[in-house]
Amino acid sequence: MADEEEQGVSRRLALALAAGALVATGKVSTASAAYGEAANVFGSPKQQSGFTTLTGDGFKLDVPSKWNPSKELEFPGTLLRYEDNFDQKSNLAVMVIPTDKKSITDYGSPEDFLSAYSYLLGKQAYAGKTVSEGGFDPNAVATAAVLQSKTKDINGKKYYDLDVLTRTADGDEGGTHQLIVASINNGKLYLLKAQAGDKRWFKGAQKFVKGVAESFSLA
Amino acid sequence: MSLLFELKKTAAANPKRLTYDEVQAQTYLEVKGSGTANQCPILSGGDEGFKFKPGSYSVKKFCLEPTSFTVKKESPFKGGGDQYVDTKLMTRLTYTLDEIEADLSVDEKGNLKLVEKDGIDYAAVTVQLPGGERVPFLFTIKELVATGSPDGFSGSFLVPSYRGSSFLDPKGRGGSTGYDNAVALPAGGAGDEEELGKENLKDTSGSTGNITLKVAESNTATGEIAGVFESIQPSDTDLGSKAPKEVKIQGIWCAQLD
Repeated sequence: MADEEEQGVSRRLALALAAGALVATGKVSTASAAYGEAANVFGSPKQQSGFTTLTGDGFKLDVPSKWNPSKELEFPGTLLRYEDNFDQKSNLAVMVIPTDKKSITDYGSPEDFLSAYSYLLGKQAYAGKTVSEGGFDPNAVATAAVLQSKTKDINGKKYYDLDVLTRTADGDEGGTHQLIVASINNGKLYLLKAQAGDKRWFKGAQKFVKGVAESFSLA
Repeated sequence: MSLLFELKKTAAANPKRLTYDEVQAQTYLEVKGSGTANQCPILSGGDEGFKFKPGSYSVKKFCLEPTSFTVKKESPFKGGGDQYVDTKLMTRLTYTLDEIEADLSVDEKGNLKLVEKDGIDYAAVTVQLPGGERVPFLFTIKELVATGSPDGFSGSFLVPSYRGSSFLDPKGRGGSTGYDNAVALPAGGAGDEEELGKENLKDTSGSTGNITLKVAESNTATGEIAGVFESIQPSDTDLGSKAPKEVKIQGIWCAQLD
């Protein structure tokens, strides 16, 4: 009798210890409360990061959850392109171009790299003469300014990270912030361009576009 | 072109002219609605003529206040001289240029060379001719280089297009944006006809004007100079679709030398 009681007590104790240990380590996935499962009682609140991680062919990227895939192929070598649900001016695109360079630093400085790939920012299509555009050079109706350029080092690979502001004479959306991240891996140049108009930028799109640029990494 | 004559011409409905220090002493509510902001300050004391020594000076607060706008009218008779007709101002008291910075160099012979740098150097004005036609123009002295003696130094300046390249006309056509032909005309290429080329293709190039300035008085103690000017420049071309008219602007000016 005493033996059974001792065993019972010890088993109960063991179970309680096990349960306590599980709760303590927090590995209990009660947070996912799908249909039929127990409610989220002891788990941590669900983290809404606003991004969905996408793994592509040789790269990984966080795409804002509310952005939709787009079928447009704006630049040569586009692998994927996502744009904001209501505003097509806020978008991102990943391009892959074969190259013979070994590292992104072979292009020179980040600004030199940008001059080699300046088609990403668009080209002025107006060829007329004008000196009536305030804040622009004569005969220019579009201009680009590099706000920030840096070289990142992730897992031993060098990345060029450029923050460009392009403005047009008609004041469209107050200018467009274009974030360009580039790196070379296995003979291919991986280019990410994420952009949003300034009108959306200061209203919250900055967080999403910067999040995209900062999350881009190659396999 | 004497200073006193020019000043008297605008005595009609304008407030009393103030010196620079008097203007600075006014409060916002005293200036608001009085017309003082559209006037150039006058000199307090000073001598006639240009009395500064040779050298290079930096000109600050160069102010040009027109006192009359006249538009050249082609004479109906062949061989008759063109005359400038008086106009009525449509755009109220916003036509004065001010806060312009320039470089002035005076050589040994007393000749001046004024090179304009930047400032509020353009003002859009619209005047109405007798008969009702309205003439808009951009009163400006952009990129002026004026040389000569203090009794009359003149030069040419750039007159940019009244409208920019992104301006759309009532049919949605523009230079760097908008349609490139008259859409909504019947099919068959009617929108792209040669006759409509003047309206379809927008021209935003600038042209040039000429100005002659004369120094009437200067005050070496405070570093101020003042005088009269006469400027002839083209009016608006409606983005290249009409011939510009010649506008003659006469007025007074003043500046502070450093």
